[in-house]
Amino acid sequence: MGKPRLDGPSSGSMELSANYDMEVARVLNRTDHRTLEGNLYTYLDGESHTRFRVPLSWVSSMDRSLVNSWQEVGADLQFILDDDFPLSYHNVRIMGVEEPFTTSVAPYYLTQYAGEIILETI
Amino acid sequence: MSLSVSSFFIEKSQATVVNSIIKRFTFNGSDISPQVMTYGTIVHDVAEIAGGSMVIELENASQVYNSFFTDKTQFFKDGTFEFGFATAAGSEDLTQFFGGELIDIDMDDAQRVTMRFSDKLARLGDRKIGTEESPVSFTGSDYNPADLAWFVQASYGGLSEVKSTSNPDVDYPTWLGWWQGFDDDSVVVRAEFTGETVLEALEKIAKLTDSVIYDEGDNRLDYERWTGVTSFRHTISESYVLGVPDVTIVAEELINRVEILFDHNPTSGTWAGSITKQNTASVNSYGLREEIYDDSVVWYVNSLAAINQAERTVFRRKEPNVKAKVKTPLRFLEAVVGDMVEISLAVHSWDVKLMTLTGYEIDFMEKTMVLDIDEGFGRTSGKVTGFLLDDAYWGLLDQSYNPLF
Repeated sequence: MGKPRLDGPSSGSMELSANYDMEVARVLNRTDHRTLEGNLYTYLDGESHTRFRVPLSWVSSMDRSLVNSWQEVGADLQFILDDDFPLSYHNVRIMGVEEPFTTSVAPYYLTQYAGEIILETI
Repeated sequence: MSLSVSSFFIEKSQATVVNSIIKRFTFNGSDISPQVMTYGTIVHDVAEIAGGSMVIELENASQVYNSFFTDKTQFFKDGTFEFGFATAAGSEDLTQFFGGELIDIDMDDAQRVTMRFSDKLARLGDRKIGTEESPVSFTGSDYNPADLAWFVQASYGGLSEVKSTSNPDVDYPTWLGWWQGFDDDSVVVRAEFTGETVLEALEKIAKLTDSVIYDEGDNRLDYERWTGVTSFRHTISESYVLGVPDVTIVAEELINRVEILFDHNPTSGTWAGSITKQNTASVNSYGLREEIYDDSVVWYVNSLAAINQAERTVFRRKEPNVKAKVKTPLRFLEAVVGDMVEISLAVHSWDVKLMTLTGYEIDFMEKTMVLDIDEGFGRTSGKVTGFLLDDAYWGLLDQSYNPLF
């Protein structure tokens, strides 16, 4: 089995050492209402999207800078869940207003980072 | 008269699982739906001929709407909102719920722009008829109220005068039915306008004749007079209601004695006569509550039509009026102001209570709508059910006991 990988718009690429705690969730555009008599009305409005929460550690300074540069410009990326199958990917962007990797992994202060990257399909 | 929609549209809107939803906003001929982040609510009220304004919020991270600074001719361009569903065959079944003109934009946040559209018919509120010094008089002969409305809306409001279903500004069949009702009852009026707007003139004609003039959202005027028996339109039960409705009982609108002056002389400012009608049972219960109709802008020519109006008023408004705001899912999208509603709510012990839809607010984002309904004593609204089979009171054919209006 391969590893997840994040490919950028040019030649930038980052292998993600994700574990089983990575979350993959489809988010529906959905509204529900329940009436006085208990009837449920469900409205499915528009397309759903997929959200990926990828906790990571041991992220190098170089990869951290790469991810930050992608986030700052809202770059369109390709998220490959298994790089044994590189043609199966999701078009995503990095979400959030703060950079993903904000803590250091001891004892590698400011050289190895940890955090969580959140990706959503576009 | 309900909104004209397909059976497919009704079936989809009344389903408990609703998918394949399409929301489309077109501005100046272009579909800008992909940039829309939120759609504002759409409001109609029986007291307002033109619908309320509509606000949409769009993304402007692309800065495409900065063009308003350099090209201001985009203002007053048309914006329309359509809602509907995709069919299994891949086509679209859409209905227009709003049509307006862009009147202002808000760019407090550079990443977003808020556009506000005014209902196209609201411009009739800018068109004035006559002045104090040079009034426009319709006193040389008697007018069918529908003809008077047609003339002012066309000559002063600029609406189309095409007398067919192809009229883009008027629902001609409803106007014709409205006209016929007045002709059948020999209702005639005269008028003198000294600066009233076209909207005000239409509102006065509607109020005087116990009618409602409204826009279904397609920017065409519809006309209806409350008269006689009408079939039920919409049934509301607790299966469709979200939360406990907001209910009030209003006594201030009670009228049990009305005097209507007729045949006004604009030159002398006098009236040829008046008629008075009183609901004695209501007076005995609530005391005398009187209203005088002495509008010198639009008036009845003779006592016949005035008597008809007076009898309607003291019958319909003889009791304190029950009003309710009922929130539902989007299953009553075909409803328009003036429609009759049959509502049953155990929480208020209402069992098949007849009320009239006097307004509504549709929230296409939350997928809810709030219906304003009342027993029929609102301004220009209300229906009288002349006969209801097997009912202990409404099922009687004795005309003197249960008069039809």
